[in-house]
Amino acid sequence: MNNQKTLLISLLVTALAIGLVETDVIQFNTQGIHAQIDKTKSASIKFFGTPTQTSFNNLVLKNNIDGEVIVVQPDALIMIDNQDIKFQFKAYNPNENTIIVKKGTNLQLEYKLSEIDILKLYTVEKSNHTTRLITIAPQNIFGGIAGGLIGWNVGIGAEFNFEETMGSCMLGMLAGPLVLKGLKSAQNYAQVQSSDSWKEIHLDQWSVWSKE
Amino acid sequence: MRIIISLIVFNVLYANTLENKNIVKVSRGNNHVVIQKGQQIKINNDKRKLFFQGYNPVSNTITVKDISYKVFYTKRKKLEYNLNEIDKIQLRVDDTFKQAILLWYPNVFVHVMPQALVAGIIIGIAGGINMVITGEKDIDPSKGALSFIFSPMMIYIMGNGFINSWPTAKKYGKGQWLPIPLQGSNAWEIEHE
Repeated sequence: MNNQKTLLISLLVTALAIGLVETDVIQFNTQGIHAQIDKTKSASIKFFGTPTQTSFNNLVLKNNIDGEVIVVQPDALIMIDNQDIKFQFKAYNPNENTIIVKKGTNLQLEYKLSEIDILKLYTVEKSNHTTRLITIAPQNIFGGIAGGLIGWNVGIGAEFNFEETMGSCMLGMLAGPLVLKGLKSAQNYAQVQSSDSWKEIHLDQWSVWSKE
Repeated sequence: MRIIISLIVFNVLYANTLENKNIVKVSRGNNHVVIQKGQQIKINNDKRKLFFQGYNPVSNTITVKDISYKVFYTKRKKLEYNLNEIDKIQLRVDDTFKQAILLWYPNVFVHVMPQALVAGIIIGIAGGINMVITGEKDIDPSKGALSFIFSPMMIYIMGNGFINSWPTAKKYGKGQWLPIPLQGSNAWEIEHE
């Protein structure tokens, strides 16, 4: 009986704590640390991907109209033409005028630059949008109730025992919203990646920049 | 419990047969792509996600499996296409394994629940008839004649859920598809060994 009381009190305290945080009665510091940007620096050269010791593998493109330069370094995320595949740029082969891209662990492809019309480059400017793991939203409440009911049933199905039933119920209540939240976050992530964070380069307006 | 464990083992073994057996190699220039058994493909502009099964070089055909979830059953169909009929194959290249691990378990419930609902109604009706005939006061599906209906039904429903959950979980999402044209000037070629 003591265990039941302790569990019930813990549940109430947890619910109260979540309520206070979610209604902003208790507020955490939400301001992150941002790197300072040197605005005086020229923005005519843009880098994509991970800088390496040698620039041998980089693809350097120069805009024929405004002279903007883009340096595509290994591991930059790119999309080719109308394909919806997010490749990792690996190298530029100047001898054959091809780029080598990779997807996953075992798919590596080579594309002739002359056959590509549009190259999309993923910009590293991350959006300020952050997703908290648990927020109270209709889908969380629904997930919680559904999970709770499933958990409760599992507990009752075996043999009625208050602690086990409540334990199952709580696990279900946690699992339901987390799964829904996970799916929602994945959806948000996909939306962020596929919307305006891709720089489109029409290759007919650009030329490969040699160092000479 | 034993039934569930054996079903899980069977499911894992079955899922394993979907991969890494029959393959077809296609190439164009320096690009070589291997399509393995169990990988998802789309044929021509058809939106159906199919599971590649194998390639027959003699008849120049590929075999695919169409596994699609319907609420009360899961459709499984084996199809054969002649490569001459195919303009392009689209190969799914995003990582479906991780999402399948995440979705496999809840997906079992998605398969099992609607069928369990129907089974519950059938057991209820059969139990009612049984009560009238035998004069028993309670419905106990694990005993007597009812168990002959209940047990096979439960095994079928659970088995169906476990077997179909993995492939249908792998199908989830829009996916990233690599177009492999087999006709025209940019056509890829089948590598014959």
